Amino acid sequence: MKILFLRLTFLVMLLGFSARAGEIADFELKDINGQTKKFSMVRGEKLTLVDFWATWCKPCLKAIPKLAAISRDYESRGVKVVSINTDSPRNSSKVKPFARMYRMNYTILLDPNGIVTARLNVNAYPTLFIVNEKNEILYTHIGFRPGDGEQLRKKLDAFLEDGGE
Amino acid sequence: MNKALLILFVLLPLFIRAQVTGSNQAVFQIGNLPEQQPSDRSNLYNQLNLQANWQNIQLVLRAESYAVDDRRKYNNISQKLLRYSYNGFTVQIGNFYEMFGRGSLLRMYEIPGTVYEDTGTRQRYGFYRDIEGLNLRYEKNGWDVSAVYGRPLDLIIPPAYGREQRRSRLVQGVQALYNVSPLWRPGLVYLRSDANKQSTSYWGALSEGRAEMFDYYLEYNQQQGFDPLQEGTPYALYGAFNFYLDAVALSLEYKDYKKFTLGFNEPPPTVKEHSFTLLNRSTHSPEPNSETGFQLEALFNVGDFNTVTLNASRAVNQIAGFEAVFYEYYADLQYFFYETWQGKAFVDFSQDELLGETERYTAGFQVEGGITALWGLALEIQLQQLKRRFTPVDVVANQLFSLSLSRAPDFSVALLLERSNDPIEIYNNDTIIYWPALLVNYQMDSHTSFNLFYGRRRGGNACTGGICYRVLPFNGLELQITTRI
Repeated sequence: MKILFLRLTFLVMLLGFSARAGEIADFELKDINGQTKKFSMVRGEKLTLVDFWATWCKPCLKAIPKLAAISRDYESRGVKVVSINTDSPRNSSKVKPFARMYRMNYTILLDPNGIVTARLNVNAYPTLFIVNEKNEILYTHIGFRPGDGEQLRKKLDAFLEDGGE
Repeated sequence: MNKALLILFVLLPLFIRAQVTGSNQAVFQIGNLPEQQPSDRSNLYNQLNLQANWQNIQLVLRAESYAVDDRRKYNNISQKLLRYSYNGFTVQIGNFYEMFGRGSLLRMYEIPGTVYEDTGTRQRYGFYRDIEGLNLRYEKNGWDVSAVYGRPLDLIIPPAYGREQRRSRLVQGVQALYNVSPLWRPGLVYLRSDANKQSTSYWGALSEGRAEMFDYYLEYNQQQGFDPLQEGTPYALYGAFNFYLDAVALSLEYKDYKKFTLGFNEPPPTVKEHSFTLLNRSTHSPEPNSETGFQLEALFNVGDFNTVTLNASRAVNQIAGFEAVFYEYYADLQYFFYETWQGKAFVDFSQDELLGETERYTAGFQVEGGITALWGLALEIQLQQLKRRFTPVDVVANQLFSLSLSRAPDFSVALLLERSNDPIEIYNNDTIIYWPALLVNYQMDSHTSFNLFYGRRRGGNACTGGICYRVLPFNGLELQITTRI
């Protein structure tokens, strides 16, 4: 049993070192206005920047101005930002006023029970995915440091040039 | 059985061409609690999560192992779940998470990435509370109905005690909500708990709604067999109201808990959850046996992405004729400047008589920004002083300093230093104790990241998502490798 478990663990780690891309299967969540939205309804025509965040997460707040700027600058190029808030139901009612105060000009979905968060194996915040129109995850980034906003723009530019491949 | 499950999980998706995703968290430690021998004790905690998605079916498997040089090691398949969703119906068989209302009666949760260490057995395991059993859910045509039957995990009991003790309680319950209008979504809750050959039932009612400028939530739960709000009736009353204009948002929460100690669940804490370490460590823990209180928060936008937060919270506990008062007043300013820089400064004044702490002042700031297009710098300073009853020093003082350097998008290194004169923390003849540490983070690619900690870690409370838990102190080296596919 232990040997099998260790083999599986190493297999996952090995695949992690060599894997290319996962996929986001279509899902539906409520937005901050209580409307149920499918991911396929709110994603970008070419690329989607998906941000998993929480109101209590300091690096997530630092990312918001950069994501708002990306949303503004890239929307005409077929890129949309979709943020998925992971606060528990106790805090999720605070997300709407929070979004207004932080001028979040993009789609905000609520995942209070962590179902989509778990499905995508998100275990740190913020976790950012760049996803193409086939729902393939092209890039994953965890955390947010100074300069990460520019790096995200470079990645988006590169994927747009490659046609989202 | 476990071996068969693992093989089935790996092979079955291949035949049905399911999409398989997974992640692995491996945490290696060499070191020990302060003053404990051997000082180079080593252990490895590993958590493997696999998911297979095929059409409307999802399979989930979690395996945890703990390797250490004694009998406290274990290998467990700790979660297995089959979820099927179709046309508004969801069936979950296995280990699942569910919450009734805002969780006064039932809240299952997971704090992702957190590894909990039990003080007694020193076993390390994932920090989550799930139910093992059956969950049926219907969400359609304005209805939201959920029924649960199963055994919740008592996460304070470590794996060494086995499933029988960790899941000794049986809960059965149902929640039904109906969307009458955006302004009114009423609901009813019933829950029965069986443990130690005793059965206790609870019922509750809730209502929520939202409009363009406000939303509200109100929930009342009590033990069955008592008159509502009569003396001696165990109950929990919780309410929340949010109001927002363009540049101002107000949030009010109220709680009133009496004899509401369920043994498997805690009602909402209704206190501010801080992201600054010294404040987070001092978070008030509610006492559901007798607690009333409120939290009022105002959030102002003061231009662009700049915000001011004001928060006041208060809780009163009645314990054996003694009245213990907790209060806290908090203010912060978050400001973005020079394109790539941002700063946050805060002040806080509080008292928590349950901990015997009075005149607790905390202040600090964090400033972070880019020094080049790729390299960034962050400085954080937090200072705290308080008075505590029956403590041999007049004023307990805690300080935290952190300096970090980062390179976007994949590397950061930080120096952390904590300092205190708190006699609870000092275990020799010193008058001051220091916790210096080096933290390195490297994200190798989209799939793999490394986190290294080397030095001394201060123990104490940590609170995330309304859940507080105890972090043990640690001296040594810790390496965490997170992999995802």
